[in-house]
Amino acid sequence: MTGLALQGVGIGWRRELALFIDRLPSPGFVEVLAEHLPVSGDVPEPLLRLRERGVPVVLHAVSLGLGSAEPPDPRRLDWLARQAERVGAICISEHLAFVRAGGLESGHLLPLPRSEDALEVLAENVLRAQAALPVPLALENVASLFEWPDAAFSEAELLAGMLSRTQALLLLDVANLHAHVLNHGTDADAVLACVPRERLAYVHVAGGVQRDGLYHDTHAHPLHAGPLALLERLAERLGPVPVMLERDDRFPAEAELASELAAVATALERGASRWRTEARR
Amino acid sequence: MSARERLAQAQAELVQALGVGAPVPVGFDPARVLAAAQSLIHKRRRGVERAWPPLASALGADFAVRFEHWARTHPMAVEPDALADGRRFAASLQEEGRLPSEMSGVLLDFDARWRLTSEGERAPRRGVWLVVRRDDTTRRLQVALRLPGGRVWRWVPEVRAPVTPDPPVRTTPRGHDSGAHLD
Repeated sequence: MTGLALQGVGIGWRRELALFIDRLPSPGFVEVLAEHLPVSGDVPEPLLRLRERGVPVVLHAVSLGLGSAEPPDPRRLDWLARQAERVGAICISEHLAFVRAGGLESGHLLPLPRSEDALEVLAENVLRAQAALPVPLALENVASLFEWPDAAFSEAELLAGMLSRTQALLLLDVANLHAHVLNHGTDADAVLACVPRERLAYVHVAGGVQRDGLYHDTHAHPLHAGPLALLERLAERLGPVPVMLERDDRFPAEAELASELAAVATALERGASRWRTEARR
Repeated sequence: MSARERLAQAQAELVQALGVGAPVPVGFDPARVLAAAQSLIHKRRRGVERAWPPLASALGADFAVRFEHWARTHPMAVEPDALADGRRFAASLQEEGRLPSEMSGVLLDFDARWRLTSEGERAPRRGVWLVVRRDDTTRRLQVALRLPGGRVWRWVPEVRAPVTPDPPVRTTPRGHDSGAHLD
């Protein structure tokens, strides 16, 4: 089991997908974007219905910037804590990233330098965040088109460092990992090998697009075989893990989305069945 | 310098390069950083396109070029908000006299519901709020009234087609002004 009571195949809840998700017979869980929730007023009705059906809700945020040189803003933490309570989230996830610096907002999740400085600051920021948040915090590996120069360690060591220096859980995004394999030659097996089952909150899978020799993690294009293969390898190592599909834009027809969810379930099951075979030996 | 100070400097240099085209910090692959900068602008444009469909369709093929040109010199200083970003972009078009005339009603409506703070954040208006302005093209007065509870009542007279030998078919004007004259 993971540190959280999540299981099965979930999906990122978006207004555009509310009806589709409403009709799913048994979504494993849904992830709601904190920045998309109305600041005040009622929680969207379809989300309340999902909660009534007993579907666990995870809150996902992109604006804390826990990898920023500056400590997380107490007002942002406060807002996030309130949002988590409003939707009854069992976990809040954020990113191993920074989003602003020197008075400018980048509008994106920017990768951290793989340095001792960055890990030290991250660990302090995470402690502050955890003190302010009502539920467990999970951190996600991000995708990027560039890398910082003079990396002191590998991507796997960055994740392992985060896990050893903080109490945070890991949200492993296998599409982001796939992006790093293609864009930076990251060793995927080393990353998968550093994930302890009890610290894995859940897994993200999403579509992307290859453009000019770079893989862009867009959440707006069809799912590739690469991330699914990584999910399968993860499940082969850890058994069935909670996993969810992210789709943020250019929403496809319901049949296409359903078939992507089915592909995720198949990859998960293929890996998990080998894990079961291995466990019986 | 502390770890935080060293990190702050390095992160600020990178964000400047990504956001406003400052030199790419030493050691980075410039082509990759530029690709990321382009992808950030694209994402920002896509956000505004989704938040302001009338603006994107009114500008048509020009939208992408104009928005990206504007965005490069107008970085985001507050939390990304496509509605606020689009409103600021529309204001810059208006200053240049390039705002499509069909946008005036939409902007009027927005301005009756929201205001942009001096920092650039979007804040909801409360209570009763009246917006009255003269349209740049038609020179006609336009009025929007926000009522308590958030409903907006809007009065935007459309210009009726000039009488020509073959008048184009027009839909009923939203507002009616019997003393109308055409510029």
